[in-house]
Amino acid sequence: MWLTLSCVSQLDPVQLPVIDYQAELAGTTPLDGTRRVIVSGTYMVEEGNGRLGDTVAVHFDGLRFTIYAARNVTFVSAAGGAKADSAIFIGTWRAVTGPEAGRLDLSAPADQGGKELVEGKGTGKGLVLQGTLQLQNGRYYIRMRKVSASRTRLRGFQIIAHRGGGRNSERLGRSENSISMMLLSSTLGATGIEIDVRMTKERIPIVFHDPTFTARTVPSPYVIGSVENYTLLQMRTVARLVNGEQIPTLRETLKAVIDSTLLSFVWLDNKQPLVVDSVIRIQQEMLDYAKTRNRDIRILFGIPEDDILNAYEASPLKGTTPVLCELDVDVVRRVNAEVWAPRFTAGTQDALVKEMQKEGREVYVWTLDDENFILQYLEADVFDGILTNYPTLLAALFYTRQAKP
Amino acid sequence: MKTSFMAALLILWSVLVRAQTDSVFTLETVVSGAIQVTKYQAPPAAQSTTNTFLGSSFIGKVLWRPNHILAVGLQTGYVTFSSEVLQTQGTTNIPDVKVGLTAIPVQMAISMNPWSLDIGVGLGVYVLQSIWRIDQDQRANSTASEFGVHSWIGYEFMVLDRLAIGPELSMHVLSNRGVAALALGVRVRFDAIRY
Repeated sequence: MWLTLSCVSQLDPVQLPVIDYQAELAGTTPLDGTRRVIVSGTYMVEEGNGRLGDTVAVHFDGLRFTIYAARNVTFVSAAGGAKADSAIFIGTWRAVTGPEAGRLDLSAPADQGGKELVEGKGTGKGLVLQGTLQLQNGRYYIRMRKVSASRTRLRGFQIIAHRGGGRNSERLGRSENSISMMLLSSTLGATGIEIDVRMTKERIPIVFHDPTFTARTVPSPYVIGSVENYTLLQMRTVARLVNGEQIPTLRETLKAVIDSTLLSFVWLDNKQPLVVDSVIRIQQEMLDYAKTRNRDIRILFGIPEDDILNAYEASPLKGTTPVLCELDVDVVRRVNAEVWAPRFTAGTQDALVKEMQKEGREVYVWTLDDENFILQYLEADVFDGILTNYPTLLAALFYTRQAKP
Repeated sequence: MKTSFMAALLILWSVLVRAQTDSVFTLETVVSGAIQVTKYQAPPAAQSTTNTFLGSSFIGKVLWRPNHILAVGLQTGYVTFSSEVLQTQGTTNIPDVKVGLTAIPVQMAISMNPWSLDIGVGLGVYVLQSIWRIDQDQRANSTASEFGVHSWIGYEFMVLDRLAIGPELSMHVLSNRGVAALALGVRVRFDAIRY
């Protein structure tokens, strides 16, 4: 009998190392804003490019030191600080396309830019970060040199993570559209997220993609069939996402994003016309809440289909909150959407995109996961944002591409 | 597993098939009832304390057995995979919830009976029904269909000209849901029509 159950496919487990940051970073001083800018930038990988590729982007997500590498779609999340006349960073690396993960130890030696970094001098150009990347079968030596400063995102370009962080999220131990996934998304490189809005039986907006519960999203066999068959209480008692999280309500989600992330953009992908009014009310409530918290964040009501459009146009709340529209440009103008979001299969549509931008709208394209497609759309250099399942890949390509002349 | 079972079935059938001098076609009805042990790949709910449950299985089949060993037909029934009370205080303000999973299989059945054995497999869907209940007012039933396989082996004692009875060991597998159930019970076969 147990043999037959092996038919259920399982992803390889990801073994992240356990790190006692407090103990290992004892005696270090966290880097302030000036020093974080000195460290941030594009680095050429002089040794260890077999794992990370030739070029990586180094950023800070708040105080977290992060690296985005296109090779193997790898991200690093680390902590660190200044120690004597150098700096050290310890953390974990993950290749999100597979189960590979491990520990990373880096330092900025005093004689290779570390001293200037600690003193807060210079731009950091030429700064060397070197150390080891742990693999299952040993350690890999890494050495990389900063070649250009980190630039601000052109026109506020948005790296938007699909379903709260990416559909690849099962490999991250966090479920799609879960709050825990959204809390991780900026470490993955995202500056914004797209989340899916459905409703419970009593029409409470929740964040969940599929119309039905399946083993893909909610493994419990006690929760099956249409999502709308269940009240929030029923979901709360039994339903857990694949990594054990609760299905969040829209209000809980937006509050968590405002309170606990640095994300600057949320795209509400509405799936059901019956909750349009409720969603707009929560959107407005949370935009007001963000103001009280001094959070610079945009929350956009998404119009992906005609049934949502019809419900929106019939709503007494129409026009009271910012809108993102995926439909054609005439509809975008009619609902006065702040953002037009065409599908990538329509091509780069340069002229139409520029027309929309002249009207004061932004244009985001969805959903790009392939490296070549992402590069093609980045090189077109007309879009204000890209929706992707691999924010790490997009971040790596976007930031390092800016470094080219 | 499924492929191996089907291959073994076909090989056995080809060995045993034999020419018949007196053609007898039979329409068989078979009912079986069993106690079963259900094993989930993981505990079915976060609050579940086990992933093994005692349940029951009742299956009815109608099989057309032409002039040889192999028979084809349809089967349905009612299978209780699990039923339990979950302690939910802490995550909600209610003390506990009764939950369960049952299924109605709707499957094509293939059977063969060499010697006094009956060996078969049912392929098709299980119409799953989940049950969530606090009391009569607060309850939810929801259904979904999943592909599954039911296989069995039984032994028959002829007790009358058209009536046979015997033990049966069977197994339900819903691999997509990570559910397998092993059932041991009794089967009764009645040859409704012979021609």
